[in-house]
Amino acid sequence: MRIPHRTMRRAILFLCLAAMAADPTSRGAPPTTPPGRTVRVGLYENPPKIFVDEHGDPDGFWAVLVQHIARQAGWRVQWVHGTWKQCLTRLANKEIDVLPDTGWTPERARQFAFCTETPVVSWCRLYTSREANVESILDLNGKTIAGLANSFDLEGPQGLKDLARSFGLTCRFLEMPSYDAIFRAVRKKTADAGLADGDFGRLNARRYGLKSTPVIIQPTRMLFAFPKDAPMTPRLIAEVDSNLARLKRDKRSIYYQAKKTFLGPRGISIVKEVVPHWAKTLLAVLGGALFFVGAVAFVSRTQVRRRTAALRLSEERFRLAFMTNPDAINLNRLADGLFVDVNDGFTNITGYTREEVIGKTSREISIWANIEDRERMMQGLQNSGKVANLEAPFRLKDGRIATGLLSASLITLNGETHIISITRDISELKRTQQALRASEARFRRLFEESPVALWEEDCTVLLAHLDELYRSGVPKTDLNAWLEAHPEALAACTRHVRIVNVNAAAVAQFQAKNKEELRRSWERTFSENSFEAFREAVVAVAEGRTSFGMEAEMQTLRGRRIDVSVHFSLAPKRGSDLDSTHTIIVATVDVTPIKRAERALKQSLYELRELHELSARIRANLSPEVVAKETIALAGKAVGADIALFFACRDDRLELLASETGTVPLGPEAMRHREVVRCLCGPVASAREPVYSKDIRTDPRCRLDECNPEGIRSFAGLPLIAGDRVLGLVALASVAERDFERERVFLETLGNEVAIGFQNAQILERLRKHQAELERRVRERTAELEAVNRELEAFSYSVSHDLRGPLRAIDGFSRILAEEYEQKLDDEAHRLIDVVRDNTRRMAQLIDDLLAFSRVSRHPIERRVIDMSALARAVYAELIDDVQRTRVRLTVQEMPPARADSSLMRQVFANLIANALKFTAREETARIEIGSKIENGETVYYISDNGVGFDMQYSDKLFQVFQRLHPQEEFGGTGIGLSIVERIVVRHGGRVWAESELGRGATFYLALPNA
Amino acid sequence: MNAQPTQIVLIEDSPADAELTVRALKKHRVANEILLLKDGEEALEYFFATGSYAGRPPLPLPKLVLLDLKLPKVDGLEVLRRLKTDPGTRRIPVVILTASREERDLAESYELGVNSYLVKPVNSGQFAETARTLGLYWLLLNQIADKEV
Repeated sequence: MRIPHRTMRRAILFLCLAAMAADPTSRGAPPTTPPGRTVRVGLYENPPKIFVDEHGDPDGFWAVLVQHIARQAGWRVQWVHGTWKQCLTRLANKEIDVLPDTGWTPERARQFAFCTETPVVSWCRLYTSREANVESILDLNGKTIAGLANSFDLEGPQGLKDLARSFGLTCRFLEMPSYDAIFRAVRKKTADAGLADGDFGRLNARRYGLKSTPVIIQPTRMLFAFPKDAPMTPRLIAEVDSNLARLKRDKRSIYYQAKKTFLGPRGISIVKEVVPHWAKTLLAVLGGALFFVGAVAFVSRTQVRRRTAALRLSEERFRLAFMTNPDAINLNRLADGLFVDVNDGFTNITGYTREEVIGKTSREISIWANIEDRERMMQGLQNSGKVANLEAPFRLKDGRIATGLLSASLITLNGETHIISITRDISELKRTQQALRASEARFRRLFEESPVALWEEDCTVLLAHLDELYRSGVPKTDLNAWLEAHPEALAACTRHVRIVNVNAAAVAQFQAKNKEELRRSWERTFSENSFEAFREAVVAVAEGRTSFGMEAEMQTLRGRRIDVSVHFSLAPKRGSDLDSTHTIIVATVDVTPIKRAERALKQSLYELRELHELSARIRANLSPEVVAKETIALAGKAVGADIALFFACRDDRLELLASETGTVPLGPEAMRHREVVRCLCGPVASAREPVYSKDIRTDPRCRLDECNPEGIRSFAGLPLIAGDRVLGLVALASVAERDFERERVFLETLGNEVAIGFQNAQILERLRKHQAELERRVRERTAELEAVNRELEAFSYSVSHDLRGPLRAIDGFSRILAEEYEQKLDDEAHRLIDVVRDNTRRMAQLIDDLLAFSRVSRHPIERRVIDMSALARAVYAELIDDVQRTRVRLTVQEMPPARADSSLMRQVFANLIANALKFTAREETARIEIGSKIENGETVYYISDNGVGFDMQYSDKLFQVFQRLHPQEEFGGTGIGLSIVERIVVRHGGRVWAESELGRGATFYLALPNA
Repeated sequence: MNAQPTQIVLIEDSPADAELTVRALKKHRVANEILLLKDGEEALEYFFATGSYAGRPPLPLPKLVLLDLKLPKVDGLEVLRRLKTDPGTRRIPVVILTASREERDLAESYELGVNSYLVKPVNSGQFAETARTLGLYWLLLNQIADKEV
């Protein structure tokens, strides 16, 4: 049954081409043609065969031929240029006499006349990318092929479309405008293969990175065409034929040169080009039928050809199935068991080459690992003519044993009975199955022996149930909320989960007697707090999450609460789609101790934070009452007491400062509770130790008779001790039986903290009272001072009015006496009257100065920036008169401005300058200098003079009121001017001082804060 | 009291001051017709024909009022306020006589419309000279005003 597939294909091709290329005739000498005849030759662009060159001259292979023949035959060639289509039309209309390079077709043969000699043969060829593998037209099935639109290659008889149709191929065709476009499409992989003119392809394929395939179609002889029935045609044909024949005989003729020049160095040698060398040897071996097929293919167009093609295709298909099947297929003759043929699958699987098995028996190559299996096969064949799915071990060439699944049947070929068997290598499958089984066993073992509690749950029904819920209108995206709102539906979900298996660890964890009890009663592992986690799980399953975890509170079958970390792992579907199960592996880890520790830690952290907050608040200047309130609020909340009381110790009595009754309704009952609590508080205060009582009803320390049996149960009392003093106590109580002592660390820390805070608050309170008292006293004293000040003002006001009146009278009447009794009084009387009047004036001056001094003290200070130099000059100008001006040398330096009250500062300068003028009165030339200097960052202004000066030992008296350092007779004045200066400077925050030496002038300094 | 129209009304409680002032005015011949009133109450009775002056015949307005600020019963500022708010007396020039330059009194006097003030100096010569100049000035001014009216 072996058909040399590839060889046959190539042979067909060969035959086609060989037949077509056959040179049919070689006539005798050409008839002579009268020279000088005009021959119109069609010219069109088809380089390199025929075209117009850059000089406008016809060129190309055909042009050379035409020119040669014209010379030989004496034509006067008249080129008629046009498109190919125009050329054909002109030829049909006899407008041209010869058209070169016209492919012969039966249709054209009916329309035109052709020369007999063949200048060249042209064909179309398929081109593919270099990596593609197209060996025959059959390989084009399912491919995309680019071809020239409306061309013969594609559409014409024996065109590629036609061929594809007749070979039953399904191809897609891309119609392109040019060969270039076709090659580009193939290069871009838009098309798997491209159909192009052979010459074009040969010249261009490499440039596009394409390779030629053995598939060649429409080999066409390219001839000179002539108008049919034109009078000149027979002669022209004869001339052309004779010349061509002569040219082709001579290998050095212009014909071969032109071919080489225009059509490439390899020329177009048909046999050399297309037919592989081995084809010739194989040709002899081929059977007649194959030859027939080839011949028919060449002849074409007939029914026979078509039928044969179909037959050939069927054989091809069988052959293809045989060869390409990955299973091992072998054909053995029944009579002697010899291998007749094996396929590639067989050689691939067994490792034998075809040569090693063909002609041998299976026994010879010991391919059956168990010879009995062969017997079983033979038995089956004998019984029914076929064997199906026989599983047997086979020995491969390298000795390995493979498991095969064999089917065989008997067929008759060439009259002989053969066994055709097909064997699939199922070794891999077997190994996989074994691995699966081992894996499953390992899983089971792991599951059973895992120290982690594991549950295998089937939630197929649950999912179906959820689907039903969705159908009934439960929003898919809102399942969680819906289940939360419908606890009964959530509870129902538990019934739809089937516990397939649990492991020993789960049985132990949930205190079940055995697996069965846990599986049956698993719903009892839910506490009322478990459903939230279960809801999460249901939602996660519904969402198709494959892995998720959560924490939940559950309970054992014996009722013990446990905290569990639950991890769900959704196994992939098992079974076929129709019978699928959704299995979840659930791991439950008892995290109760961790949770307990976590809660304890949380509680500690909470307490710590509260303590911290309390101490921070207590430090924040709180009153004892607020400390008491804060303390019991915190302590009550932190330990969950129903009653919290805060007592302060005052003179050995307990005084309730704050109370909080928490959840206990406040009423007579609660008041009694307080009493009850109070009876235990005594020991707390007296023993200076915390007192804890789990149940005061049985506590001997509780001495209050009316202790309410329904009331307070547990009690904690904390003394607040600072130093050696009990400041108070905190009492906590609960109506439940509580062991407050478990919170002792927290409570006693709280107690210590509060004691300090409470003490501070008490001290602070006393301090505040003190402060308030002090402030009150300051206010009183200030008021007194203000009153005195007012009196003083009134006094100075009245002084100015009342003291001056009598003085005026003394002065006035002394004067009247002196004037009106001038004649009656002697000189002594006049002198005495003068003394009276002089003293009166001094008294008035004293009063005026005193008032001025008092005014300076009361004058409000309005600070503004003062140009001190300008002020000094202005004051001087006011004080000086023309007489003095001649005597005084004043120097005023530029001084920094001062920030002061301008009227008061004017007064300062006035007094100091007046002083300087007064004490320089006796100098012939008085020198007064006003200036400033910076000393230790402050500005010091000074006025110096060259007057009489003063003795520095009295400098401390200089600025005192009414202090004078010179006798009245020498220098007048009340001694108040410098006091005023000092008062003003001091009021400005400055200082004033003076330096002097008797007889050497004096310098007065004033330091003012910088502006 | 004589039949001649009063030219200057002096309101002064201190007899010494009053005598010194009157002497100074007369000595310099500023005016002979000087009416002395002892306190603020009497001054108001005189100007507004009440109390002991009730029923007095209408008098020509004085040319000048010299008013001490510190007066018994009704003080000088009150007298000034009454004089300067009554349409009948508003145009009489009033000069304040004061013992000191206490700003409070002066500021208030100016607000009430006083025409001038005079600090009573202890030096009597100085005082007499000032009083004379002041009195003449105001009397002269009023005469001109009278002629024009």
